[in-house]
Amino acid sequence: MNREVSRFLLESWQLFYWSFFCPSLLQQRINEWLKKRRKEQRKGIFANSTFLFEINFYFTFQYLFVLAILSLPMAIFVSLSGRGWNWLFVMLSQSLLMGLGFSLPGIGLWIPLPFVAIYSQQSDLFDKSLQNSPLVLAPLSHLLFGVGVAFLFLFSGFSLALILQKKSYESLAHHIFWISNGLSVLFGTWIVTRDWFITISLSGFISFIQFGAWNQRESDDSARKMVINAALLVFFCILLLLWIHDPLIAAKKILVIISCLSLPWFLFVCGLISFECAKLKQILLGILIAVIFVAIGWTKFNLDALWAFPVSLICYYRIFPDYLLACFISLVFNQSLCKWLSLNSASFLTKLPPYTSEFLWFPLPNHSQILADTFRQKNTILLGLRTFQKMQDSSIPGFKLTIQKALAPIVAYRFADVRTTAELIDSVKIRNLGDLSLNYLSMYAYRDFCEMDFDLSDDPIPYDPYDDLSPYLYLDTIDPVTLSHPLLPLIIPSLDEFNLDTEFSAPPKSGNIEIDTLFPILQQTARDTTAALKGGSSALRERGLERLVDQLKKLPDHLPGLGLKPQAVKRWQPAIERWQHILELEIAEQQKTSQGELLNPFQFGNPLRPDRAAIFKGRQDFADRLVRLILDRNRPTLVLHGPRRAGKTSFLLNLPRLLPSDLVPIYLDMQQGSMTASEGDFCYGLVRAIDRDTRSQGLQLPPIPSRQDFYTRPYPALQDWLDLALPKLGERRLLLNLDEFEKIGSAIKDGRISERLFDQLRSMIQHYDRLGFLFSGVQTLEELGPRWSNYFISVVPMEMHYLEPHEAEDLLLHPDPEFTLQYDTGIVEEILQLTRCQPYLLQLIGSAIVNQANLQHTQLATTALLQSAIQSAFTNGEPYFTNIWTEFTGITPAEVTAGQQILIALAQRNFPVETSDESTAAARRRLLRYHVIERGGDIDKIEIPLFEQWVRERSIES
Amino acid sequence: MGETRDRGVLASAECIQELKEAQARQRNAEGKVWTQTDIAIESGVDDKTVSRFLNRTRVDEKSAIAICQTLGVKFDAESNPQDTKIESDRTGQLSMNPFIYGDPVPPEKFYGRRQAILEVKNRIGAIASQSVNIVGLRRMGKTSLLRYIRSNPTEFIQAERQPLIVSLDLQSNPVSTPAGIVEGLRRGIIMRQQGKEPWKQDENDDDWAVQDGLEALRDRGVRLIVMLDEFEAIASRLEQFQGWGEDWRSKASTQGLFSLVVASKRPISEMYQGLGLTSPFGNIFSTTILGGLEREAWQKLVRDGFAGSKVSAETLDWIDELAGGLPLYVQMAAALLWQESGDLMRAEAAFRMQAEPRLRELWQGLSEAEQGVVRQLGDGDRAVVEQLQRFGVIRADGRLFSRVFAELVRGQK
Repeated sequence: MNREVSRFLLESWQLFYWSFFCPSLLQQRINEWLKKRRKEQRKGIFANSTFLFEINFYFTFQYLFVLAILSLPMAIFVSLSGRGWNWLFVMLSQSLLMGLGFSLPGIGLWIPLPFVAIYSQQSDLFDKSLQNSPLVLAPLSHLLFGVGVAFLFLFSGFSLALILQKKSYESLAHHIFWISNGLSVLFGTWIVTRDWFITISLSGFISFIQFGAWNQRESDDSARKMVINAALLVFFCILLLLWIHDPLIAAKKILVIISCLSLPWFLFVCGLISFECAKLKQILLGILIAVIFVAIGWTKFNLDALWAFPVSLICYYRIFPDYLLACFISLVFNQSLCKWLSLNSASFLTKLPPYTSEFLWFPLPNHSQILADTFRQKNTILLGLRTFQKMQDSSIPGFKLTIQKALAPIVAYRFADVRTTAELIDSVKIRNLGDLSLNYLSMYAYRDFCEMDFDLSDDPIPYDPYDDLSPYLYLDTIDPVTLSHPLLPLIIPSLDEFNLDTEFSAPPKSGNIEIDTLFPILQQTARDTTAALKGGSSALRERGLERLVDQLKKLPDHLPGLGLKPQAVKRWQPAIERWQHILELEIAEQQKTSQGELLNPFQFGNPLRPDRAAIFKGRQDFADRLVRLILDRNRPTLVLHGPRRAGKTSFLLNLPRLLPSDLVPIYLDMQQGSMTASEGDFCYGLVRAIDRDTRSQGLQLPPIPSRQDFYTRPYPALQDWLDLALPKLGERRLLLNLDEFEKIGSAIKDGRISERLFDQLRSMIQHYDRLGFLFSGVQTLEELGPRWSNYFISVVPMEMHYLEPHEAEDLLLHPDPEFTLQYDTGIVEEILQLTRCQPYLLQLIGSAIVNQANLQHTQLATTALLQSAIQSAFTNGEPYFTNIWTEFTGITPAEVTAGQQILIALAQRNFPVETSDESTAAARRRLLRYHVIERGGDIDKIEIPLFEQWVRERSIES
Repeated sequence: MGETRDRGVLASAECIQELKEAQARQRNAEGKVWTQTDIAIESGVDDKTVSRFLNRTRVDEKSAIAICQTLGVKFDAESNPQDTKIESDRTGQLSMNPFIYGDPVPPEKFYGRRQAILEVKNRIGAIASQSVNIVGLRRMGKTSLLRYIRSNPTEFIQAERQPLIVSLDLQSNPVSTPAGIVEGLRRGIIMRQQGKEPWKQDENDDDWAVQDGLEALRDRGVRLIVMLDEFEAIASRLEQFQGWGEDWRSKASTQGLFSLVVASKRPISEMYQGLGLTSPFGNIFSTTILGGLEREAWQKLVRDGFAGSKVSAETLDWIDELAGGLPLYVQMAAALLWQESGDLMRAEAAFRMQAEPRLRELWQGLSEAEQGVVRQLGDGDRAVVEQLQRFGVIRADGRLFSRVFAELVRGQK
């Protein structure tokens, strides 16, 4: 029983308090008490029904109880005045308050106060009003008839609308209700006043308000404001028109009321009205109201009326009492004091707006800090989120500024709170931002939410008014199905629409420079972390993560350059350090789990460009010989030849670091289609290549003429340019390396290029002593036919083949400075023997061994592992083996077949191999020429044992 | 049952509307709205197919899905009782069959291939990007793997290396010639470079301009990966591809302008030999063979599909006997089992009917030597046997991958 009484009293107090300071909570309470369950909310024109239609006696009694208390001063005044019939005015005021309370309970509650103010000053005012009323009011017959007609329209419209609504004609029901209201006002007013001006004005005003109320149902906050502003504008226009229509009457009516008040009571009323008008939450309205009050008071108080200006502003903008009280709390219970008292500063958040007042026009000191602090701890994060959302929902500037200031610390805390790599990656995800600690909290919240029943009569766990922090109010944005929801989109709504999956998209701007600067950087770091963790090997993963750690270490130094102030940098420092720490832990974890998983440094297939110099081994002797030949007085033309995959192109690409600096190698790939498209293209390509490769050596040659010049006169254009360019080389020489030079022959054969090119090349060799030529290909000039050998007389062939054993060993043992694979005894020797130090096969086997070692989680290459690697190499290197098998066995199909049979016979050791017929003899010669087989005493044998094994195990005859 | 696949699919009116809206939002290099040719190139589908699809004519489901994916619209087939792939809904059974057979699987439903993924990653994601040839017989999942790579670029290449993947289907008309490939490449780069043109369309024939455009990309640190599906298609236009291989080999290897991921039924070197070409084009590739799925992978696929229902060992054995881990047949067996509510006998009858044309196709795709080995049920040239084992046609124990296939082989003369 006591609990029921105390609950009644407490709720009554809340009713009173909320009507002044927290109108949205009052509205919430009304909604609950009107039995509108969340899950069964009715829709339609009466969705926001007041207790005019659906009375809740519990609430009504509380309302009347509060009214009675508020009317007590007036009752005392009436009792003291001794005019017994003045009790009639008390009753009338009560009726008026109750009437207002039907639709505007908030306003209804404070009306008694100005009544008291007026009555205390002019106790006979009501007497005079009663005496004057017959003169002011319309004749009784008009009055009764007008009210009757208005009621008739209202009742019939209301009834019809109800019927239509039950039949689900929502829109029609609304329109009927709207029209009947308008008609009731229209006819009722005209009958009473017989004044079309007033009738139309009033009807228009009422209709407009109704229209606005209807639109407000599904419109956003800005639309609501627009409607209210428009309604106020119309209201003031009507007042203005009334003033013009009969200024004396209007002025008199206002002045009669004002003239009865003394200055303090006038200011009290100004303050009270301003205080109430603050609920409209319009920034400029406060100033407008203050001006109006000064103007109203001017007639009686003259200069003293100016006091109304600050009073109105103080009350409208709630500087007193809301702001000053809150200021006191936020200043006193600051972080230092709370720390000293061992109190949680976050717990004072509920003692501040928006909990104690919904009107915070100016930000409070420490408020943003207190709010941000709640996001630091698991047990207060939900409170923080709810508070943040409440502030976000408010249009009052003080809240907006507070959350804007708190945003950066909150996000910084969240990022600093990640504990694992997975959390780090998730922390920047927008859609799938598995919140770091929100899940179980939201679970708690939703348990309550789901069990909540707002009907007090049959609620097993009723709403507990003592628990001011019941979480259900603002958590309806959290996904109740998954019980997890991203936190950042909740506090930065613009992120909610952002799709992280979109490649190359930047996240939307939040309006906060710190977040807009740091968020993309951290997001990229998280993406890179994901990518690094997907690396093919632990070694790759480690390297990727190490790079990210380096970037994070440098980040704080870069932030001032991105426009962040030192304070902001300091704020984000813990988050950056945290991320760095987590990535370092991840690196350690990778190292632990990988047990030294190897980075695969070997490369087979593509030639080794200069950036892979670490795995380009040997060939220095070859380069030295090349230099000697180029410096020879006879300036021979060099022909570098050798089987495919012997490393010719890699050698040419790596010449810049193998040759002395006064010899500049120029690389021309004749496989490139454009080089042999025409003579003009060849000359243009030659000049481009010279320009490119000399520029990379820091030389500046004349600009390249237009391509058209080369097409119209290819050789003169080339010579003109060389005449200008070569003198700029100083003591340097150019070595023109024509790779895959056989393609020139193909182009001549196809008619794309004429034999004049040979003349030109020969001429250049003879006349430009700063130019050296090196032709690289599979064949020698003699093999290409007399045409070639006739043109290029002084030719020195250089055959490139296998690496030296020590070079091959160096490649296997030291392909990368961080390479840690160990070879069991004899394995390196076995690989050298198997591959015969052929560069491609060394890289292929090396790569396969590393892959197998990683698959078997070992760092020791054993015989068994080598056998697995060989099988893998046969598959991965299939193009190489097939190419030898099909291209180097013969030219004609008969020769190919014969060549393949020779190889099979040799691989299976079926000696001697019969080579008497012509095809077989030709095939044998070809196999010998291209080093597929060699003479081994009396019998032939396959040169490379690994290829021999392939023939034995994998070859299929064409 | 299942016949509708051959007749193709039809998009719903809503889906077409969404597609047209999505098309209107896309802009090509000239800042103009995408044409149907643009969609065709981007989706790797014939432009006539695109036209038919957008005009609400039936097209094959693979193309329909590709077009929708390109435009970022979820494919929604028009519901038609006659087209229903599942005979009827049964109690306790969802109406959507979770298994896909015949069409490439979407990336999110890609299972297994860990070894292949690792090998591709080791090539295109290496310190210096290199080319790879994905080899697999018909319907082994080559296109699915390519789509998976395209959808998950950062799984293969670190994001900091700025992967840019352009996928071209050489069977598609717009990119069936060398010039078409260059234009497809250009458009692909534009799409992923947010409208930046590497070179002008009228410069497609100017190899220097193409070279400059690709060099600019390379020098900006972009790692360009060009994926060519259905590489065999060049066989039908061989005369147009003379010299193309050498030029692209040069671009992909010596110049390092891009890396190639080529999907083909046979290794490129073998194909070139068959086509009478002696180009060393294939030399730059590493070969990755797609055989059957790993046992754990296909079993997981089946279990995930039957989510909520326990899949018995007997069922798994049944699928293994019919499919041998080959993705098409695993999906087919599981789909039909799902359709027949777990009735193995009915499912097997349906499987035989559905699989027969595909198995015949597989048989015809084998070389004579391979057919000989298959006829002898694993006996014969060891090299051929091992090759067929790598392709997944013969099991490790020498049996054929599917007993239905074995029956079909027995019936062949």
